Amino acid sequence: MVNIRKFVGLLELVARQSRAYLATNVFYGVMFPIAFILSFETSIRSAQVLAGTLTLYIFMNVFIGTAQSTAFLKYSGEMSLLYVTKTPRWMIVLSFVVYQLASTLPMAVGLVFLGETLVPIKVSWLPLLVTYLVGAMYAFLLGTALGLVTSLRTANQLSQVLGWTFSFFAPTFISLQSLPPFLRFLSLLEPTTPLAQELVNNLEGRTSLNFMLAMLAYLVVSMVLYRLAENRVT
Amino acid sequence: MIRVENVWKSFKGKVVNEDVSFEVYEGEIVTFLGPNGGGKTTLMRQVYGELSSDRGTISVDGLTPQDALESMGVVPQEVRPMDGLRASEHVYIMAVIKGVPRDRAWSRARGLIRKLSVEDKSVEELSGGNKRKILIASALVNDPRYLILDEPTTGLDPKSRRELWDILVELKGRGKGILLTTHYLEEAEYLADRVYLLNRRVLLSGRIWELRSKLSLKYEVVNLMTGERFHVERKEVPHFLSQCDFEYEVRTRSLEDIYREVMGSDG
Repeated sequence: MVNIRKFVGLLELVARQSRAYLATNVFYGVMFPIAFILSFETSIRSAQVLAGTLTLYIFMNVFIGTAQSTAFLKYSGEMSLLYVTKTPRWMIVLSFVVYQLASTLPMAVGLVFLGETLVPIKVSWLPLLVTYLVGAMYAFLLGTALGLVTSLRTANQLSQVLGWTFSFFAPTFISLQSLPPFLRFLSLLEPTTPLAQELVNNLEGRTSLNFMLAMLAYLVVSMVLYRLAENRVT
Repeated sequence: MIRVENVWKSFKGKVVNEDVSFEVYEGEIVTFLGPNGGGKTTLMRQVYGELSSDRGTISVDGLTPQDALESMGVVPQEVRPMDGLRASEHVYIMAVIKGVPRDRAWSRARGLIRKLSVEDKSVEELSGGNKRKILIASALVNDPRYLILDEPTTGLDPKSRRELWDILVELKGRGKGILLTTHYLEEAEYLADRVYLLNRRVLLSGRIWELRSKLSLKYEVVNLMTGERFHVERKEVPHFLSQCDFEYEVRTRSLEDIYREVMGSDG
């Protein structure tokens, strides 16, 4: 009960602090669907493009936002300030992932509804939700680990580089099969690959055990990396 | 009581705290003085449980630091208030997170910022001194028994520093046990009931007068015409003064003299 009260307090804090970023969220919330519609005017209409756009929401938004927020919390001392209120570190961090998910989820859902009118897809909503949550969770854990072990400047730079690399130098907007065989194996080392490929499956009414297992493997690895990062700062 | 016993802490093989022991009782101010990199912040972070000790024990009223956080108000080093909030909002939200009911949290937050004379505007617009006051108000909002302040006055102008000193003295009068670190010798001299000189290990500790008596076997005789200083053994002072053919002043040694001597001898 105490922890729930603390968590609600943390969410209130994050919501109050985020007022300044409302315009940014609205901008991205509008920009991506517009860019998506424009891209469909000029490119091949496919579930893969929709999956690539969703991957940007799920992975890049959460990974970059979490890494930079964590590094800033650490740099500014806010992490310490919140820790001394007897709030466990995981709860401080979780309040930020919930915020990230809450701010991107409606946009992602809107995008899928928009996609349904433009692309011949048949959405499996429950598997799509599971894919979304697992992908967002490991994006969050990887971002948090990066933010904990690097300086603010490094986290800002590296999260951008890694975020964009994982989004555009991975088969997110294209299928895994379209890559040469040796690149297919390499691309599986990127956490966005199974996420984007499973999103395509979900958008076409399917699920893939292999891609889901790969995502769960990334979740486990990200948990381990997070624990290692946390131990390093204590 | 905060009790620290034989605490060791090292990072990557470098010992930062070596066998440190001390206590803080309610209603007193204990100050740690030491150079940059002397291990003060590392020690404080162990006391409030953000770091774990390699060896030794720390207890707060018999509890581990992590379990006792509710009875400690902490202002970590180089922390600034959380941005995007008004002054009262900052204190209120910290109260809520600490478990104070919302209706009481607002009244306490507003009461504290009024008492500390802080304008209720965006924390980014506050002066350095008022930002520190907001952090102290946030630390005090759940009425903790102990206050831990890591260099609370670094970078403040003399007026703001003096205002904070007055706040700390008042809190001590209300029975709070206060543990603080500082670079400022005059701050320790003004505030501290007991002082610990720390450079990795505790080099000297005690009440200010005790430190003076431990090391003030020599008096300083100053030639008021030339400014020349003579360090004279206590028992030889009468004889030395009888020989003086100049206007003089006899001084006991300041905390700064003691600090220099102790830190100097530590290399």
